Amino acid sequence: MRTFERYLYRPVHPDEVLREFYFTRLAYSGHMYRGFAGSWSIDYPKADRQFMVGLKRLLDQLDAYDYDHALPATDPELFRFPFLYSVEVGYMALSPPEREALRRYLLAGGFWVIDDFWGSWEWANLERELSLLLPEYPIVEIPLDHPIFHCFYDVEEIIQVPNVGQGRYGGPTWEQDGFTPHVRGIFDEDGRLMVVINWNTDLGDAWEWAEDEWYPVRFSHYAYQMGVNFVVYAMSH
Amino acid sequence: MVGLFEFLFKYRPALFEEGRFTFVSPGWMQVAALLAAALLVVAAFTYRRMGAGTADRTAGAERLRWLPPVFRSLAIGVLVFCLLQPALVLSTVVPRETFVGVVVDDSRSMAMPDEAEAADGTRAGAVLEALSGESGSMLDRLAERFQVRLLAFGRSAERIESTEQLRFGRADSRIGEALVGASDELAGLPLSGLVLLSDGADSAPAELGDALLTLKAAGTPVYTVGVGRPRLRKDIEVSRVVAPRRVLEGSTVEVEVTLSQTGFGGRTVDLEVEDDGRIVNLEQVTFPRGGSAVTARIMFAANDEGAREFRFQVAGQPGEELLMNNERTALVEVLKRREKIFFFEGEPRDESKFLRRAVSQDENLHVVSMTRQAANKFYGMNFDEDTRRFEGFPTRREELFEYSGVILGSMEASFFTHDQMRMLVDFASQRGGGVLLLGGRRAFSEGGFAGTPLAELSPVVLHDRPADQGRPELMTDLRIELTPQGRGHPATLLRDDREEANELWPTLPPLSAYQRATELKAGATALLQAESPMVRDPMIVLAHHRIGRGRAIAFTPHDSWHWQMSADIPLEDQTHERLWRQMLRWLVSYVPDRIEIEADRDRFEPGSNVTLRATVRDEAFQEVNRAQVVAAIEQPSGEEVEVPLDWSVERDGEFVGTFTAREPGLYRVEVDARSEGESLGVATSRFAVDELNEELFGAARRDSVLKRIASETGGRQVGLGQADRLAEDLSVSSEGTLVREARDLWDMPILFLALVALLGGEWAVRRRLGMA
Repeated sequence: MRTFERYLYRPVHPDEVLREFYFTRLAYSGHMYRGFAGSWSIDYPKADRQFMVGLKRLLDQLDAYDYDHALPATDPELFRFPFLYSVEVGYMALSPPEREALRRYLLAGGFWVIDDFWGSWEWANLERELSLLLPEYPIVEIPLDHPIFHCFYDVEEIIQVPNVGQGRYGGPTWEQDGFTPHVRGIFDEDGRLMVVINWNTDLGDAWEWAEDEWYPVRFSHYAYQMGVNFVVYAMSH
Repeated sequence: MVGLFEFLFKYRPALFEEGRFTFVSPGWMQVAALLAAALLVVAAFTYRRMGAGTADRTAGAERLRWLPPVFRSLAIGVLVFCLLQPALVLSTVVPRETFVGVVVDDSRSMAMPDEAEAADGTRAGAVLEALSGESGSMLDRLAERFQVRLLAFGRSAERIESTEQLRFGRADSRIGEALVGASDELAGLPLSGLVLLSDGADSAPAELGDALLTLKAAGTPVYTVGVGRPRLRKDIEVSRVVAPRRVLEGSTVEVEVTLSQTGFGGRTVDLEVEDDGRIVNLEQVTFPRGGSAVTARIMFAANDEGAREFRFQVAGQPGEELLMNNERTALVEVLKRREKIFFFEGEPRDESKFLRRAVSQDENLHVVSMTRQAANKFYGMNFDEDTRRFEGFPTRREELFEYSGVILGSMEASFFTHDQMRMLVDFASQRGGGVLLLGGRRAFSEGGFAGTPLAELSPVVLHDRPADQGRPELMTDLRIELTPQGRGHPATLLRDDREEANELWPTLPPLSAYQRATELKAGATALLQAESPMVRDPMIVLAHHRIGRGRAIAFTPHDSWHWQMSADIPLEDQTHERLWRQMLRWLVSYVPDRIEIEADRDRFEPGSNVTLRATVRDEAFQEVNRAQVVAAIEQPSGEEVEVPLDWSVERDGEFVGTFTAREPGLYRVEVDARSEGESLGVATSRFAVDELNEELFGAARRDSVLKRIASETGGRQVGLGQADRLAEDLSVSSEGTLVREARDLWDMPILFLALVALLGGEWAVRRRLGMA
């Protein structure tokens, strides 16, 4: 990870009022760089901030932090923020210390939402990373009757959410060979979801461009419903 | 003192109390008066003449001049008193026409070796020697004046023909019942009284007073003869064990054990707790040098379901006189059931998530939660077929009162209606439930609880907080520590070893809180506190108090989940889980059920009358008096007996019945309450029947009991070697076939001594005055 990436991290300033909820983005090590930072920072920070605006309106009792909040897995402070969000994990390459910290984080009670990665090649990368991270826990399809689809909004079907470009111009919703969206997960031995994997879909773009008049509202609507449910589930299970 | 009185006045004070004073020759009264007057005149005249003839008198001698005639007059008075034949009239029994019951304690405690006067050193030996020894035995002495009936007692009195039938091996010693039984046995006979030979150890569950009233009403005096030493030289005794009757499986059981001792002050002994032969805890207890008793609080895990008989024992010490009182057993029902707790949370937050997760694996706790996510939108969790589903906070008592505990999270008081707040207070005070108030930005003072019914629940003092003050300030970096009361408390015991648990607290990651709780309410107890640079006084972290039948607990930090999820806490660490499991178990411990059944004790002697008491309430926990309540008792043999319970009238919802438990072993009682054909519910309970050896506890001679029996029935307490006195006391009692007897008093030594003193005094004064 490059040194200047650290300028993008946004830990909570000591003078800021502590909140109950932080939308924390995982700044992981990876193969791809866009500009100054790695693939973890795709859509960052706008998607995060935009999501918080909607989240606070929809969950008006949630004492949430208004801004983006990114931390690397090796920061001990990460344990203070049990909700984690990652994108573009097709390019993720966790170091052993990151892997160790993330494993402890998840088993201790953390919740990790993975989003915006497409196709079989990127899936294979994530699968390999997760097999190193949590080798004893399988990745499974989350059934639609699971509480995560119903804890706030009732989500009846999994929709493929396109990136902003394809969404605005009405192009195909898929990327690479990721034609079918999936919501998969990793459960601990008590049946608690530790990891939610949104594959072949891009919820982050739908949050980020929700105010864009050209981006179809049904995708943003769905993405917010999913995002709100993730937060409610994370803070209750 | 009594001996001196008897020497001077010829008879004991008791006879003067019983008798009436009189003069046998009252006809001499006038003659004696004339004679006395004549003698006085002669004496006065003589002294006057002799005094006139003495010339050189000093002023001191002048003052003594009047003494000789006074002495002389008094001496004459004594002589006249004797001539009148003073006498004490006593009602005494006609020899061998009245009866005396000699009631001998035949229990095991009489085998105690603390009677130095007996040949074998035992109380029993001393009794046998006193009763029928070769020289001046009590039975012989009594037989000179009375018809003697010998009775032996354990649980009740039985006639025996001779002392050879005494075994001193009965397990029970019920003095009151025995005395009433003996009185009944001899009813119809002219009875002078009963003689009780006992160490005073009374194992009867009932109060002695009732039996004494019966004896008093029957006019039967009881003369008590104490056996044994009033204080054992060297003994340790497990005097009292206070244990909960029921606990949840896997809970920490807290038991108070009182150990008494004589002769072992300063000694440290091991107090062991055994469950089915397995030692589950061992606590070292040091006896105080000055005092005799010490109370130890001992804790252990109850992991095995069912009725467990926990034995608390101290190993016998060298030189200890009695070993059988070194242990006691407590029956504790370890229940495998799910206590339902309702968790009402005002906002999504990690504290509630991790709290629920900490107890999710506890099979005995069922936490149903309702979390407000958005205005008027709630997310309910863990409702199942056993729980009623509702949205928001319950509006009906039946919905709320089905839970044993309520956890109130960060929810402002203004959310609730007044009735809901009142209902929550009633949940604790009337239903007897536990309420846990969690810290948060909308809780306690910060949530506007002050001035509302919710304030009653808080064990910490609340203050008005104006709404325009905005977001409350968060106090961070709170290092939690135990208060003295929190050390060893079952809720704060985070490790099995108490010392290890005490040392753990300061090492836990610091927490934060919105509550500036620094002041406890009267009657509240703080178990945890924390220092913060933001407040002057220590902050209260965990406190509790009682509200009516129930309990309210305050836990003020809002982020205890950091003890589960912290870079410094190992994954396998169970501190957070244990804290909340213990806290919630504590919250719902001793919470009453709608239908309850309880025997008046957990253990009984065989043949005891067991009083069963059921409490019947409806779904809203209102007591029900119109119900049909039947207790089905399963005896150790498997045979079942049904006992109908009747409304006690004394208390609403209370139904009572009795049952005689003869078989030793474990009994199971299941009570079924019905009203208008519909079942209100069932409840179960257990009790044990066993030889309890209660009389071996407090085994020294109990003079207080013996004195009370004697004084309340009009008898007297006497020593073992005072058979003569006993016979005499009995013979002048007012019971039985009586005859009047006048006993001379003219020959009382005090009269002779008085005469000698008066005449001697007169002579001495006369010598001084030169008149001799």
